[in-house]
Amino acid sequence: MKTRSIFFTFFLFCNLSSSCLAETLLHISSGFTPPVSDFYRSVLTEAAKRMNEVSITLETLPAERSLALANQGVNDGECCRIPSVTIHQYENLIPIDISFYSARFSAFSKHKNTAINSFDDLKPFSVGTVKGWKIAVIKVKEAKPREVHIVTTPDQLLQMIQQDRVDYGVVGYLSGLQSIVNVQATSVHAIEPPLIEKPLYLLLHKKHSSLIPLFNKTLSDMLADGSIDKIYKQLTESLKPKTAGN
Amino acid sequence: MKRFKGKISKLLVLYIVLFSSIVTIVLTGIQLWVDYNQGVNNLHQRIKQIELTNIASITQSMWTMDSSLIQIQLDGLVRINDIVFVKITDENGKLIASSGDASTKNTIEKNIQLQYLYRNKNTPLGVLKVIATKENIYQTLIDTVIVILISQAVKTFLVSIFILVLFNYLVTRHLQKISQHSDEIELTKKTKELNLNRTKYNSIENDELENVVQSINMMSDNIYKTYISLIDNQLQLTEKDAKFGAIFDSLSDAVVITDNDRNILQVNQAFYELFGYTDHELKNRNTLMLYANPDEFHTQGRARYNTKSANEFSVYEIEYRRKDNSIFPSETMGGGIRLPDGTKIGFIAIIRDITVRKRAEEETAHLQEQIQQSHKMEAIGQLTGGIAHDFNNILSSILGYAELSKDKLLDSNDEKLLKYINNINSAGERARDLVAQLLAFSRSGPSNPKQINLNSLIDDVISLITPTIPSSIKLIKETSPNIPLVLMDDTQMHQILMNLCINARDAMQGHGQLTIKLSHEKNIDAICNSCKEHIHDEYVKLTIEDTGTGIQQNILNKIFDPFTTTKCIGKGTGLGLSVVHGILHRHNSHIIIDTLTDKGTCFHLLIPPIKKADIKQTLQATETKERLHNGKNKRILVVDDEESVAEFMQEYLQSQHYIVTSVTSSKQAIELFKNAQAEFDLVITDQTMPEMTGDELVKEMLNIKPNIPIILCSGYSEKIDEKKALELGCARYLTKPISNTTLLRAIQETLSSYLTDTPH
Repeated sequence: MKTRSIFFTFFLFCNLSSSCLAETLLHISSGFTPPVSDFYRSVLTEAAKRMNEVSITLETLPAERSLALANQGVNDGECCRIPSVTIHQYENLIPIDISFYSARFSAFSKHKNTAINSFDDLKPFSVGTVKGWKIAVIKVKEAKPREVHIVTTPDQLLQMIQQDRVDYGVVGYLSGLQSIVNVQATSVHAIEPPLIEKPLYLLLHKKHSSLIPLFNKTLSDMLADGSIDKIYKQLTESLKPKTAGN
Repeated sequence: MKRFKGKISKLLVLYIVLFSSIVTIVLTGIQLWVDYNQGVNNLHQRIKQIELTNIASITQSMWTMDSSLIQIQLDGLVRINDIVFVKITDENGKLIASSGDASTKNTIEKNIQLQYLYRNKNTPLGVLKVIATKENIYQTLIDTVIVILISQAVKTFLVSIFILVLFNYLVTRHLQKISQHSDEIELTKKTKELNLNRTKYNSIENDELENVVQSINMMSDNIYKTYISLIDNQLQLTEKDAKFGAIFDSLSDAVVITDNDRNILQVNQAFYELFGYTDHELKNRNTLMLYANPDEFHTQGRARYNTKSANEFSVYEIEYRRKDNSIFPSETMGGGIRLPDGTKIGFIAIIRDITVRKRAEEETAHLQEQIQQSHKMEAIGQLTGGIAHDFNNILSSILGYAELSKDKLLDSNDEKLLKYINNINSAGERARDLVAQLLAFSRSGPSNPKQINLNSLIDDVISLITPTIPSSIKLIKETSPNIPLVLMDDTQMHQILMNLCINARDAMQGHGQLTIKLSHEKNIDAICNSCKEHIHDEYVKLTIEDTGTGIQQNILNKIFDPFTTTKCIGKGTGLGLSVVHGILHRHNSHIIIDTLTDKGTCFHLLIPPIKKADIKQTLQATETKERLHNGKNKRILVVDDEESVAEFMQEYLQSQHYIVTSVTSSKQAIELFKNAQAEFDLVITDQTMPEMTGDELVKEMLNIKPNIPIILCSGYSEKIDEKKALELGCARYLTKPISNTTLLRAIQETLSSYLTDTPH
């Protein structure tokens, strides 16, 4: 009898342990390209470590496709977006409450002396931007510049600036810097101040809504303990030698 | 082109063109069908090519959601031949991009699924719809058709011309010459030989045209020979036909010859005369129009002219219709006409008009009926007259002795015995009335004709009969003005009218209308219903018409026979109409009956009107009778073979103070009269006696004593009647049974007349 009780207790423990220890694998896609996507991957990997029961992979996809696949449930979430822009078209995606990165769009150009402080300042020029970055595309079109070119990648945009096919290119600040390095557009520089800066939020498919509090707490902790800031600084440091002066 | 105007050439060209056109159309249709299928297959191949070469890049663009690139790619697709419209929808059916014109008709389309291998799974990205037009295929087909038709038309035209020329050279021109030669062939001339203008090759020897030429030459030669032979035969046949025609037309009976469908081929002169048609009117006509009853045409066809009996002639009676629509009876002999080999070639009918014969037969039949009726009525009359005579003798004794007995008993006050005698007397009188009716029927009863006004007599009868007719029967009298007088016994005429009115009343069974009409008919043409004599003369017509039950046709010929009645037993004696018959015919009158069952009956009495000469004689006779003489104590000789009658007369006349001698033998009487003629003032004799009849006795006595008044009495005799008796010299003629009063009055009148007229 005693032997039987011990065996039962052991069996129960094993079952409970396996259920408690089972991890939820979240496949997160992102429309961002390096270095921003690398920043996301680093932050989310750290967050997954802290949450224990969650493991996260991050994949870079075309911006619209990334949203569409996450909304369809093919992927478990999208990183990261401005919720007010995507909420109407992608109803299955729920943002978490904590933003750990703000998108900063800046104008890039070979011109140094021109003051570009807002999108309206771009009106006399030929302007290009990158598809998928909705806020940038919308704002550029609203400004009604002389010419508008929507290209596929930041590298394309920086090449077009480098070759004077467009006067200004509006692109994410980090992406622009990365592309300058990628395409060796050394005469191109980012114009300060940024034209727009918006906080971005991780979007989870609604089937994972139960994980939102966990993500909120974990990311809050990471913001609070400076972990995220640390990762960001490491990233920007890697870009500094090539973006000297910005 | 004149040389190609022949019908065969035209037909040849027409058939070539027709056949060539049909073949061209069929082959072109097949080619178009093949080309169309090939064009459609090419379109499918083209779409397949797009699927193979463009789908990968388009899928990639869809994966990256590069709308601009997608649009560029689609614009590129619609530049491919026959591709008119392409569009891409996402996995939710939302339109992503499109290019081209979607409204194009006559298209084929294909939907291509776009999938992207993501994380080892085919992720649906949307659908590429490709629409290709078949317009180019159709245009190609139209071009093909135009080319084929034009080329075929040219080819057909050239081939037709070639064949036409060739055919004309080889055949048509020779046929035209053969035709022209055939037209020139004349029956009465020998035709020259036909030769065709042909190049002589070995191959044309004995070909079809040469055979035709030989045949025509032979035929024209034979025709001329046959003509010569026919001329000879015709001369012989004309002579035969003339003889046959003369015989045919000389027949008195109509003859008609028809074909197997009974269409008229030939008729003789008698036929034209009998039916009234002309030769032109009978041409191509069927014998159906000759039949009075068209049904007979078919009946005769089945009965006489069917194939089995067509060779056997039969004789039958049938009615035909002339051209003027008059119908006549005929005796027809009809049958089929066959050739010696048995082939039936038509029919022949020989028709004889038997109108006259039929009329004669009808008149003979009527005459026979009249004779039979006359014989019948005569025989019945003799029978009833004979019976009446014997009855009258018996009744004379019965009634006479009854009256004597009654006179004797008047003083004895034996009322019971007097009652018995009265009953005997009544029964005797009824029997006497019955016998009187029998005598009236046999026309041998007493008759006293005088001129009477029927109008007045009808009024008398109406006043008499009215009380006996119920008020529900309406009695009407209709008379015409100026009705002539008639010579009749008024009492008997009275009796006739009473009989007929009573019969009419009984026939109406309480409801109806009794009409008595009187008219003067100057031209009556009818047959008497009782004697069956055909009458056509001037008559006074007295009609008694009722609305009763009518008389059934099966008893119409018997109603005048004595004792024939339709009334219940005890209601009638069956002598009423017999009496009417007897009285009327005694006065040279007749009777006609119109009757319809349940509608009523009309008795038309036809009485000859009186003539002026008759009126004078009648007046003289009437005046003579007015003078009477008292002849008591005169001497009377009574002769009667019936002993009882003789005894009765003697006893009765003696009671009336006459001196009477009676004998029962006529010979005895003549002997007595010879010896004592001065002893008698009057002789009363019976007619029917065994040794010597009354009329013979009268002659003997008048020879002995011419001025002796003789009263001749008879119960019934065919030999004598009142008229004959008076002509014989008799003073009076009395019909038995004779009442005592009548006898006494007759004796007084006779004696009075003789005493006045003769110088005693």
